[in-house]
Amino acid sequence: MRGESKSIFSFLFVPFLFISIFLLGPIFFSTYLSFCSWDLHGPIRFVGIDNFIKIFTISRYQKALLNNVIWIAGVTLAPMFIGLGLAYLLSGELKGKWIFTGLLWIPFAIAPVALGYIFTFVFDFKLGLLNLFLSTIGLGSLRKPWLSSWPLNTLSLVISSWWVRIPFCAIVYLAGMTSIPRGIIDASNMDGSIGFHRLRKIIFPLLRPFTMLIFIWTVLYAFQDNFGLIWVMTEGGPYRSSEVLNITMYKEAFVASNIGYASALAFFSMVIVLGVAIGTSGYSAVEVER
Amino acid sequence: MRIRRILVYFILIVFFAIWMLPLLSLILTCLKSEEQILYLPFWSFPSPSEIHFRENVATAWMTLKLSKSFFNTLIYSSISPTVAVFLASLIAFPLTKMKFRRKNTVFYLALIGTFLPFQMYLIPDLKILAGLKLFNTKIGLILVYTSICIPFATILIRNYMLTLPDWLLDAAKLDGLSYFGIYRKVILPLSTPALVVAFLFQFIWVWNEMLFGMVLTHSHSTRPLMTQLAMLKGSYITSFGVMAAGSVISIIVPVIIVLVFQKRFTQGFIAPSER
Repeated sequence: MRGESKSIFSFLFVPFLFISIFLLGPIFFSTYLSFCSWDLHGPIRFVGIDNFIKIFTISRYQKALLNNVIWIAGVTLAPMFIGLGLAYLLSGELKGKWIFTGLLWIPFAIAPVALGYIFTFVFDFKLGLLNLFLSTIGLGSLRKPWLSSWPLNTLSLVISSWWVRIPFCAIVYLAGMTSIPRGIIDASNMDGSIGFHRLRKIIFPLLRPFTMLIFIWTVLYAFQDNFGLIWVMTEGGPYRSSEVLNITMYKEAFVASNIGYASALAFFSMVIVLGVAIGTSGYSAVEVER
Repeated sequence: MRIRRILVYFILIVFFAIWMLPLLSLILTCLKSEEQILYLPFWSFPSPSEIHFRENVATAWMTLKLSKSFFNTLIYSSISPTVAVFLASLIAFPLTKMKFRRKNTVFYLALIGTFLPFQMYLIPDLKILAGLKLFNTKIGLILVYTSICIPFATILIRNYMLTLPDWLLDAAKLDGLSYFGIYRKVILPLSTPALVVAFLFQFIWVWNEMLFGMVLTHSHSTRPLMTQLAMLKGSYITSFGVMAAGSVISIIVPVIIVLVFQKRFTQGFIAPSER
């Protein structure tokens, strides 16, 4: 038995060296820093919960918080719903299905930065696809500088992310549907359940673990992966009106050298994401026990 | 039934037609010069003799230094996922095939990294790399990317190894193999599908990564592709055509990989939802 625990140690040692130095250690260090005042070079000074009081009371942080709430609502509800619908349509027998699924996978490969450029060409005032479309159908009066005022800029950014998020949800749900045993679907066919009813009562409950995964990944997206998209399209502007917490955090840390504020913002994001992950893991566990 | 079928096709075709418009406009834009973008009708294709694709690509690739960072990213996204997948398999093997206390603790410590926003790592990792004299080096970035790739790879590989039957282990033990021998000669070769899936996911992630590149590098010699691409916008010689050309260059590799390995990626989405 002692020999065995020694070999377990030798398996885990190197990978945990990596994880400890670059992931776990930093989590503790960042948490500590969120209670400190620091400029990245000078001495670290402990200030208690000052940073957290500041991030909830200074208006530019409140704007970022509000935008983050809009992002979370915007990337969870509609994309998950539409994605589920798409996946359901694509789960049946269809000629030429491979074309649709192929197209579905393309956005998954496209980086947030590239997505930012693609949608810069959509929302640009003078040359953008959207304003062109509006003038073509005779609604030229609705043309707007979409990215230059709040809340239109944040909404435009969220809509841009849909181009990736809706196919993503569809892909994961489609993967989920292919993993449902064929027999269950056939049985539901036989007892006459059709269409929406079948989706809601039989398929959706079986997809719970996938819904949970998508939900966690989506919330993580709203706190983390939308950075490149926002950075390219607006850099959080104009006048910091389209910032979310990750952009504010970046600017505080690497432009203004307020490491304390930046760490507090990161810590706050972590608490929410972790809360969502723990909360939803209960949601899928309940189903497994039944 | 027939009407339903037509309706399904109708919805799908409308959806994908709308979805492909932005991509189409990207491709049209990268063919045009600045004047053509301003004065030609949006959907018109420039006449074959006046396609500016090569000029746009040349500006992005040479003048705006996308070439250097393209090859940097090729290095990052091939080395880091490879190392990470190997290290993840070292965690996954004892988690699935050996008995020890605190197994769950080890598992949660290994996977928590996928569920936390990266902002938590940025400042400490910058300090650590600076302390190791690895700031703005390829090695430094490879180390950070590798660490970040480990958790998700661990989940995928662990879940796959769980499906390998335990009698394999007993048979190998009877043959006198040590645990390391079992890992190397039996379990690792059988886990190849999971290793490939984990590699593919992390390849795409590293290729598309921008934030760590922004913080942990500050010169052309080390900067990854997406970070450099994001900087195109700030340059005074950049037109829409150049931005579009740069984007096309940057997305072409991941798009091909995802299209070719669709089935593998699908498996990657099924695996983490199983216990």
